[in-house]
This record gives sequence, structure tokens and C-alpha cells, in this order.
Amino acid sequence: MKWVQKILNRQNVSGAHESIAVRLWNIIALIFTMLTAALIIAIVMVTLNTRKENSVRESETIINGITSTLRGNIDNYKDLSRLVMINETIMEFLRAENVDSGLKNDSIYAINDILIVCNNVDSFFIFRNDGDYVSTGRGEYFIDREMMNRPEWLDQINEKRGGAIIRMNGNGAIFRRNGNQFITVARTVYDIYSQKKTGILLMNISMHLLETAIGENENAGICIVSENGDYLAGDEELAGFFTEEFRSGEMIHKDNGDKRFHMISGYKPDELPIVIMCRVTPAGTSVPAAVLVVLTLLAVVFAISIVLLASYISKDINRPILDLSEAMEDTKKSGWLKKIEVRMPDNEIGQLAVSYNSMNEYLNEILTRLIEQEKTVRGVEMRVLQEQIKPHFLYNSLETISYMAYEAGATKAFEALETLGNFYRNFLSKGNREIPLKREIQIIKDYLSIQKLRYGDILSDEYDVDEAANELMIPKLILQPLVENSIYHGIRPKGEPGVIKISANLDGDILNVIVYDSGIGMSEEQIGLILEEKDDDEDENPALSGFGLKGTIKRIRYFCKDKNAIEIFSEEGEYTKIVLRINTKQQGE
Amino acid sequence: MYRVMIIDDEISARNLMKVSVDWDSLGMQVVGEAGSGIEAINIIDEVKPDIAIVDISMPFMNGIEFTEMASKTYPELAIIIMTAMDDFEYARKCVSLPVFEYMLKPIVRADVTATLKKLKDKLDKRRAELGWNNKDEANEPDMDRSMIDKIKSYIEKNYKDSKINLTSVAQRFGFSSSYLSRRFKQETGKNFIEYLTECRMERAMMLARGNYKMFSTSNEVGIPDTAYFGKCFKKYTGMSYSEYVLSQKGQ
Repeated sequence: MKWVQKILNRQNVSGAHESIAVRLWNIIALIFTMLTAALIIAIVMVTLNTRKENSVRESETIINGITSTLRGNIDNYKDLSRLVMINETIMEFLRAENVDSGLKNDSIYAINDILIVCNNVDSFFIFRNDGDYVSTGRGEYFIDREMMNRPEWLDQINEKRGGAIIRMNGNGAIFRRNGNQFITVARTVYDIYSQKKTGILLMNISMHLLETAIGENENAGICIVSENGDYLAGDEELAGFFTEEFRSGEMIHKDNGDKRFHMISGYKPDELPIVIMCRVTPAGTSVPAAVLVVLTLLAVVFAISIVLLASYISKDINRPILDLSEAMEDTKKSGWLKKIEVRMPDNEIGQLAVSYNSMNEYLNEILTRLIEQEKTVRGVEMRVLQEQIKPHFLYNSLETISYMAYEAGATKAFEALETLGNFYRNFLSKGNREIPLKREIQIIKDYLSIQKLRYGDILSDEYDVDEAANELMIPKLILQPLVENSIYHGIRPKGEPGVIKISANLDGDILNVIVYDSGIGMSEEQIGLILEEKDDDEDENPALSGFGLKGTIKRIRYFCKDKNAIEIFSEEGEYTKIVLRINTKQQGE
Repeated sequence: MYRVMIIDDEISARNLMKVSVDWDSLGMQVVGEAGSGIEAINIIDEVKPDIAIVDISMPFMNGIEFTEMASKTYPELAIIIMTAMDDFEYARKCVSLPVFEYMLKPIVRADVTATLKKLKDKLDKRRAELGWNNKDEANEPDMDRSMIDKIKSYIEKNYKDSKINLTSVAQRFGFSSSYLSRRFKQETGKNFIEYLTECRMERAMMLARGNYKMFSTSNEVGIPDTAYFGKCFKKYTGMSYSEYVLSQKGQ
């Protein structure tokens, strides 16, 4: 059943995505085709069978009818011949020692008197024991004396001891000049008184008898042939289909491929030298209405079942599965492991949805736990970092040195130390992870004012911050590393005086913070490296990692939940501009 | 003029605070300083500050303990707590205390000035509401000789408690500190704090003779701040603790 496999696997062969629905429809179509074929075959077989039975029945009826008609008629002729046999004149003719022509004529008259009542007797012969004979009849006859006197022929007649036997054309001894065939009734004649065999009579009946017998059934192709298959009467075309089987004595029905002669029956009635053949045309037979009704009903029920099955598959399996997968797809698109809210039937598919939901719940739990862990780890890392510097020692030292500077009248040193103290106080303080923008700006100002002590000749700073932006919360220390980067990788390598410009403005809910420096700038490639989202960045680019630029970018993206929250514009040798876009409405954590 | 007392174990921090803030323009004056909460308790009755600036992390008695004690004993004292952000846990404890302000270390003049200004406004407002509050001593119960004896024996029994001072004892017996101070001087010829210190030092000398180490002696007599204890001891005996121990061994 390779083709079945082929149909079932059609989708696979094409390599395309195969849906259960398509597969189911294929199977249904296949079942439908197979069952329809079976139904048609059944109908055809029933039809053929019924037709054959009908044909056989019809043939039997026809052949039996003709046979009995013929027998009846031939019996009549037998009786007639008996009448001749017991006729006084005829008996005289047979007894006489010497036969004169007068006696012969009387005999002929006597025969004619008897036979006058029927039409079909073609001729009549009476032979005396000495071979002399009289005959009467229409047309010319020839007698083959040799054939007539064959001992086996005479024995056949005599065996009947007065009974009649029927043969064609006087068993070959008599034939007509015009070639017409005839049926001969032959019998031995016994003298009534002496009971001695006195002669033989042969009564030849014309084919008209057969024509008459058939005549009543003209419409059905009927043909009568001799035992040898020679055409005698009826449908001559049919004679060509004669076979020897028909002589068996049983009625034989033969299928025939021919449309008009789809079945041919033949029968040789006992003691008659003929075979009756008959054909039945297809038009003549039909399937019984009841059978057709039953089969049609079956087909309708079957079709309805298929439709029901299809609609069940579509409604109870296909649709829910599609709904489910759609809902899952939505869940996926939303980026959250949400539960499926679509109503599901209370069956295996519903179970699937329930399982999916509980799996989601479980995954959510795990995710939450992982996120918590991650937060804890980050918190610990931060703390470790901060605890590497002991603020108390630093602060106390700063205060002590400050006082010394003050005492010594080193005002500049005193102020610088104060700024440094302020910077570190903000820089190292724990507590809030988010601070107002203005505090971050203060950190930068302190940071830059200390850096200016070192690079005052080449470094200047400008600030342009919207009043409205001042109080907005941002993650602590996201600007300072950018400014640090501007100094060490922008302005300092350039060796010329440069400016760092911090500006911030509020555009709707978006806080734009721009860190600009007129340093050496960056190449596209460098920008790409900095902005690429990789976790193992720390070791990859030592030039960048030292200043935590990538870490800062990661924090900004994490805070804004948007990888485009940071953009870098630059022209090599001219400037670098880092733009942060922080959505103040959807702040996380 | 508001009287300011600075309590910090770092001398440079106290100095820096004193010199870097323009007190005059704030209408304030630094009238005293203490290197520990212990010292502060012992001198606060003499210093009589309106404002105390307290470092939160100090040995022997930290800023929180001092604030707890001081806010009970001196309800009108304005307290500013100085803290590095690291002391956040401390700072949280302060929430339950009537602390007026927090100040972040290290000291930055601008911040300190702003905080003090804010505090001054508050105090000005309060004084305007209450008026100059002079306690009416006439209404206080009479303090006779036996009461003074009672107080003396209380001191002799409790000098080990580092938290007692004039005001806390006065409160305990239901007098104002100034009345107690005056009557005590009248009856015994000594200041209250002098008497308390005398008790502690006599006991300390006894312990020194028993070869006690200074830190355990100072604990024993209710001045666990060894630096301050040393100061008191020297003032009372004329020599340092170790000198005294040596001199006693010679005999």
C-alpha cells in the first residue's frame, strides 16, 4: 500500500510544516475514498450478481417454454404418424405381396387425408420391408438409399419397437433439393394383426414448426440449432456462439464479454436433435429497487458520519488546539509566563492547558527565585566592593588633614580636601540605589573640581540642567563613570584643552542626559564594542573594563529595561557624545 | 546666642568643626567639647548647652546611648547626630529618638551651615512660643539637711553608674538641677559634681593601691572613658594614674 503511505506522508515529503488538521483531513479523505470505492464495488457486484440471476431465470423461462411447446407439438406429430400407421390402406400397402401403382396412390391419398389437418408436415415416407416405398410432400426430395439402409440407423429405429425417434433430415438419408432442413419423426410399423414388423415411416416436419415455437418470444434473441450447431431457426447471429457444451442435456449459461450477448444459454432437450440457445441483453435486466435504496441509504449515512466526524475533529480537537497554541503564542509574545485564560473544553486538551499553566507557574517561581538570587549576589558584590574602602578611616584622615591644612593657612588644600570628602561621602554612601539627578550632578561637580586640580590647564566643565529634571530619580553613579571615561579616554589623550559638558532635559516622560566631551572621539568599531551586549566583557577589552564603562552601560540598560536607552555619537578627533534616555514613568526595581 | 557643645572622639574633627564654621553669623557659640559621651555627661551640667552635636560612633558610650540618656534628662536639648552613611543601622535607631537633625561625615562646611541654620530657626520659633522659661524655684519642695544626706548616700551607692550627674539625680529626687546645685553647695561646701568625682576618685585611689589596671579601675568607678578618667584622676591627685600606682608601691 505504498500509495496510502504516500498520501499520509504527503506533507512530510514536501518538507513543509505539517499540521494535525491537514493530516486528519488527509486520513478522512483517504477513508472517504476507500469506503466510496468499496461501496461502488459492492453496488456493481450486487448489480452483476442480480443481473446474472435474473438473466439465468429469464433464460430458463424462455428455453423451458420453447422446449415444452416443441415437445407438445412433436407429440402431436407422433400421434399423427400413429394414425397413418394404423390406416387400413397403408397397412394394406405394407402387407401386400405385390404392390401396384394403384395401391401406392391410394396410400398417398390416405396419408394426405390424415395430414391435411396440419401445415408443418413437409413430407412423409413409408418404406416397406422390401425397400419399396411411397412418399408424399411438397418440393423435391432425394433419398440416399445407402444411408437409409445403414444397419445402425435401422437398429436405432427398431430398438424403439414402434416408438418414435426424432432425427434431423432422416438421419442424413433424406434431403431436400432447396437445402431446407427438417426434423424427422421415424418409427417402425407393425402389423396390427400379426404384430410383425411391416415397414418404417419417416415424417419430416419443416422448420416452420420451430419458427412458430420461437415466434412467441421474438424479442429475446433466441436461436435453435442442430446438434452440430447448424442454424435451424430464430436469430441466426446467435448460432455463431454455439459450443459443444450446450449438448450436455443440462441447461448451460455462459458469460460473454459482448455487450449484447453478455450471457448465452443453451439447452438440448432430451430426445430432440436440437439445441435451443438464448441470450439476455443487459437492458433486459435491472437491480432491484430495494437493493439500491439500501445502498443509497448506506452511502448517505456514511456521508453524514464523515461530516459529523469532520466537524467533531474541527470543533473539539482542531479548534481548541489552535486556540491553545494561539494563547501560548500570545504568552510568548508578551514576554511573560502568563497563564492561559482561554476557555478550554474539559478534556485532554483542557488538561494540556492546565498542565501548561501549572508549568508556567512553576517556571515563574523558579525565575523569581533566580532573580532574587541574582539580586542578592549583586548586592553582595556591591557591598564587597564598597567595604574594600573603610570610610571611617578615610573620613577621619580627611578631617585630620583638613584641619592641618586649615591651621597652616593652606586654604586651597583645605577646600580641595573638603571637596574630596564630599565626593567620597556621596560616592561611597550606601542606602539609596537611586538618587535625584541633582545629587549625581553634584558628585560629578565635586569629581571634576578635584580632577581640575590635576588637569586644570586642559579641563573645563559646563552644566546645562533643566530645573524640572533636577529632582528626577536615577540610578546612583551612572554619570560619574561616563565623565571619568571622558577624561581618561577623551580629553587627556588629546592633549589639548577640552570641555566636558553635562546637559539634562525632560522630554515628556523621557529624561535625556547628555555627557559630551571634546576629546579624541571613538571609531564606529569602538562604539560597537562598547555597546555590544555580552556578559563576558570584563576581560575582553582591558582598555575599557578598568573604568567600568561597560558595567555602567549594563546598569543603565537594566534600569531602563531598554537596550537602546544609551546611545553614543562620536566623530574621531572631535567629540564624543553619550546620550541616555531614561523613561521616568516606568522605572524598575 | 545658642550654646553649642561638640561631642566627638576625634579631636581633629572637633577642631575642624570649631574652626571651619562661622558660628557668630549663625548666632551660636561653641561653649564646650567632649571626647566621649561619658565626659559629656560629667561636664554637661557646667557647660549648659542648647545644642549638642554628637558623633554617632564613639567608644565607651556611643552617640545613640548618649542621645537616649540626654533626651530623657535634658528634654530641651537640641541634638544633631553626625554619621557616615555606613552607620545607617545606628541612624535607624535614632528615628525613635527626638533627634533634631542628621549630619553626614565627613564635615562639609556648606552642609553643616545649612543644617545649623535650619535648627536655629526651629529653636527661635520654640523660644518665641514658650518665652524665656525661668523655673520658679519658690514652688519647689524644701530641701532640708536630711534630704542632702539622702542624696549624698545615693551618690556614694551609685557612683559606679556612669550615667548619673547633677541633673539626673535632681530629677530623681524631684528638684531642679539649679536648686539642687545651690542647696548642695550651701550644705556641703562642695559642688555636686565635685562630690561625685571625689567619691569616684577616692575609690579609684584605693583600687590603684590594690594594683588595679587603669582600665578596670575606670570601669569600676563609673568613668569607663579612660582618657577622661585619667584627666579627672590627675586633676584630683596631682599625678597620673601610673605615677600614683608607682608612688604607692614605693611606700
